[in-house]
Amino acid sequence: MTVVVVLLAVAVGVLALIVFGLLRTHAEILRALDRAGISLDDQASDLPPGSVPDRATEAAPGGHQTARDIAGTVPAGGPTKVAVTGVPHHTLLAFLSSGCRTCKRFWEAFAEPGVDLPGDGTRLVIVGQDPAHDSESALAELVPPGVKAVLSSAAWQDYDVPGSPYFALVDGVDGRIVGAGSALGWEQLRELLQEALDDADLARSTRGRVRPPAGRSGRSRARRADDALRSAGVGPGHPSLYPGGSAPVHGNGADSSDRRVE
Amino acid sequence: MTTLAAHGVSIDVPAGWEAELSTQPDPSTLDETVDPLPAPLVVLHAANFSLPAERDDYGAGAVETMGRNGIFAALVEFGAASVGTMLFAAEGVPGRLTPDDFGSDQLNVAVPGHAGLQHFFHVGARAFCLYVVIGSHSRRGVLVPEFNRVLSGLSIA
Repeated sequence: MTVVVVLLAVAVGVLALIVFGLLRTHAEILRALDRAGISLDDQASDLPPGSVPDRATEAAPGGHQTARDIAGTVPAGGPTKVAVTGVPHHTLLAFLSSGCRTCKRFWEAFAEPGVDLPGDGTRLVIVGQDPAHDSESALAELVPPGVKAVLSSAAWQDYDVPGSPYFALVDGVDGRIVGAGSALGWEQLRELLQEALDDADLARSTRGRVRPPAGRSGRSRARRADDALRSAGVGPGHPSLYPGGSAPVHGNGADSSDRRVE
Repeated sequence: MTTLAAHGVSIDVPAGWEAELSTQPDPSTLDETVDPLPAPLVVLHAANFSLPAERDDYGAGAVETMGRNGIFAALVEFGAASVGTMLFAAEGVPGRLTPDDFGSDQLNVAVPGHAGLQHFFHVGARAFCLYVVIGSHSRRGVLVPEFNRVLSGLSIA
């Protein structure tokens, strides 16, 4: 009887060790996948999509968060510094990993010739993690020809990147982040970035620093507002526009696209 | 100010400037009859405009994109056998360049309006060519002092 009890105790101990080992291996695999930016969720990216303008809404009074230049290494190359502030154009920073599934769509989109970036002269810079956190050789293979790429975990920290894919649009003149966040695909991201640019243009014009609109400007936003009002039955001279009850004789701001003051 | 350093070459990169330090391919990887290099040969690029991802050692692919106020510099290392030759007789990193050093006849890629400079020198047992291009010869009085500010942050061990 004693022998049986001892054998059972040994068997239980061995099984406990095996289970402990399996759990530990599993945890290590999960950590490694997380470091490589691979999500186990089939449905979506690592981040809630459609949140590009979040930085703008979190901004300090009077402006967006301050951007920082990128220092790191070129994939399979040497040290580099990329200037994103003090430059006369916008920079789209794409924080991508070699392994995440959603990133694959962006790697493919950025490999397309003449990818249509929002804004005037916007430059695309792909930012990967340091070789200690991602596969440098895999990243070097993924970077499309002609696209600037830099490996910099410090930049991921500077821009508070919660995971990949993540994007930040930087106004090089102001040195500020116009918009930042994630998306599920390039078209969605482009729309969100364009919205962020429109918002930045609008904010700039309301601060009295009017800059020539780039594509969809504050003027086009006003035109869209006019269209929305018109479709709701609110046109020039509509009583709801004049709570005081007296409409002006000539055109007004809600009719800016159609009528001119003589 | 960001400092880049590798293989004994270091540069302070001011705001608005970009730089990249890389190494040249070892010829022995392409030709087995050639002895491997004892140490990698360095190429340093610096510019006050966005450096394209693809460009050659002397800036072809980059200088064509720069404007009138553009400045591009390449520091290209040569093999140790070059040390002691007449071309590389000058010693040390040049401390200061003058606008008169620049001319359109020193350009690797001829672009109208551009001016360039080629300066060969050695530091210890290492030989280098410093190649600088400015976007406008007529603005050399402004652009060359601007580059000298960057040059003062270059050191070679």
